[in-house]
Amino acid sequence: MIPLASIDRTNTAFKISFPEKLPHALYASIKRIGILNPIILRSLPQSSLFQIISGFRRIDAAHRLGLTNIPATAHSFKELSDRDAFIIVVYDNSASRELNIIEQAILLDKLSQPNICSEDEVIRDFLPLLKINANRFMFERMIKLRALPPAGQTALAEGRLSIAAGELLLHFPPAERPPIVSLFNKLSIGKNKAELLIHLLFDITKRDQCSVKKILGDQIIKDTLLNKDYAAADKYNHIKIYLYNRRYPRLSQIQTDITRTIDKLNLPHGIMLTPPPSLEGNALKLECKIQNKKDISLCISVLKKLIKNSSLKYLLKKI
Amino acid sequence: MIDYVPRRIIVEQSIRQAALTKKILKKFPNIQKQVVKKIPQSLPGITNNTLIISQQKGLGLVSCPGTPAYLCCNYYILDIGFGCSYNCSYCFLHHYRNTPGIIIYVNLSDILRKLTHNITHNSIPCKRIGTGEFTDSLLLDHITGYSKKLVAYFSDKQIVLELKTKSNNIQNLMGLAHNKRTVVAWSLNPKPVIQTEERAAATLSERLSAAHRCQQEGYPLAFHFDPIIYSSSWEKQYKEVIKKLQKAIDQKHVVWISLGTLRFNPGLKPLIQKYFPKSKIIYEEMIRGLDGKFRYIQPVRIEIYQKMTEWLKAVFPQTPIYLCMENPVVWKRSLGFCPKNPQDLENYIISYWNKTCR
Repeated sequence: MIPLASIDRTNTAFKISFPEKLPHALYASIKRIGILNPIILRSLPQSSLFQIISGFRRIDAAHRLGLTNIPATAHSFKELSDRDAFIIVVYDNSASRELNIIEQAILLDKLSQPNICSEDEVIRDFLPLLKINANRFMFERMIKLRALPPAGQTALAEGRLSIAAGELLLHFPPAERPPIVSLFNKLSIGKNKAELLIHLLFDITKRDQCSVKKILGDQIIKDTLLNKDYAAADKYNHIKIYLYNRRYPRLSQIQTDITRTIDKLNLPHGIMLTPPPSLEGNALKLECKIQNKKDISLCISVLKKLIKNSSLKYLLKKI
Repeated sequence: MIDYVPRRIIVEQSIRQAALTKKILKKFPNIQKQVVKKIPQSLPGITNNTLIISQQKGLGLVSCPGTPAYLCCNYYILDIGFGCSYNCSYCFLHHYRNTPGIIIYVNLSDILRKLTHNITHNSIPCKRIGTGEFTDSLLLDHITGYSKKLVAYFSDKQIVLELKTKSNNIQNLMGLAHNKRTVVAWSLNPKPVIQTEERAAATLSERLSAAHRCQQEGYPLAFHFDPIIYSSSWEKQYKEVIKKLQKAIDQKHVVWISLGTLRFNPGLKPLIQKYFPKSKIIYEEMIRGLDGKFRYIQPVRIEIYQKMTEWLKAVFPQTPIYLCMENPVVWKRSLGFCPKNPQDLENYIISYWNKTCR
């Protein structure tokens, strides 16, 4: 057991936990049964305090709970190099949990600082430890994510943003990134939806030479976000449609026209007419659900009427 | 246009003593050289300024990869090299190859020997062979002199050679006994497109004056409007190109013209964003086609082809105009017909050449 007071909590050289917030489950666990796995510390020359190698969040919890002594293993500065200390960080963390993507990026970033490891060593020795392909492309891909705004990093760490979307976010000027992440947070959307919106936004800004701020400042988007009658999912749908129509004006107009014309046909439940995927080709797909002879008769009579319908002619001409 | 000059040469050890290897090394005595046992998948510092001298170990003849669900023209490619320094933003090679660098195969005689064997045994199921798919046909011609050998080789064959280029590197084509068996073809685009998307290739006027010189040499000519880039001013731009083409070229010499709108593998989009950040071509309205590639929506493609065909037919009434990698609906709505299969399309493409050059 080591006194909590003998630990330097301000030295964060080996801290990789992200986000900073102490998980409630960890706090509750320590409150009830205490710290089970000893914290790993290292002595420092010219300091009476220990440096934390692994266990920042457990120490944080212990401090909040008012504990005075905690179980810990202390290494001397001489016997534990920075490089070896980081190996302990990886193994100690991976024993209890998966490092999230930002924690991995922080680790790689810290490891590749001067006097710790060369980039080649990080790629060769540490990427496999993190179960990442050992190549420079992956290394650089991970390191770049640290340039995301804090909210973007949090979204990535929590799995609400994909790496691909995070990378695309980095293509926007730094000032444009936070409003995009803020939009995602307001809409409470997951990875795939965020990725779709970010692609639409990026393409529009590039094509129209306008800022994200200008797009998101559009009255339609503002009104949608402020509309109290809409649930988050409705807001997302409205904003997605707005951005899609803006990104693909001609395509969306044709699609809307086709959908409206199909609606006009008033086809009964169980009979469906769909345009070709991506509007490639010239054939509509007709689907009929049949369970008995009556359904077949209904289907035949609907089709007979359909042949004479001018909307069908229009549809076939349109596609 | 400035002819390609390598800044570094990598030579595969096994062809170090080949005549062309020696000729190339002698031509560039002060350039950094490296001999390797085998050309690796990637080498640090390789750029398009790196010339990789290698040998073609396969047949050297491959069918055009085509694309599923769209009509192919039964084109075959004589594989004399790989890579291009023109660095066009939309080029599929950015996504298709693993590493930059221009590969040249120095064993052309082996490639032609295998081709002769195949021709003798009637195992070449095509009427046209080109060299401009994985590289530009004339990009390295001032270094390799391959056009002289190829033109001579095909001059007595029943298969037509197409040399497809964006260059004006035609010096070697002058004064050859081609017997009209070689078609020299240019990819054309409007000046603003060339300036933004094909920056290292020859200008439009350079391409057209090179075509004019080849016409004077009696070569049959072909033109490829591919990729056609859609924009708000596309009509004005392409009309202008056709006007210039009409001025430069006698319609009788043009044996085929192809049209193809911009299309690309989804993997190319991030590469264009990364390496050509000023390019706007990927932000037009596109859908994922039946082959998974991005392409303009069908009504836009039809409109482009209908108008281009109308303008071109007014100038080149006898020349077959065909679509590259399009679906039957687009064919019928644009040109009023659709070939039944790749062989049928090939017969159509080559019909005017058959009539005037055989």
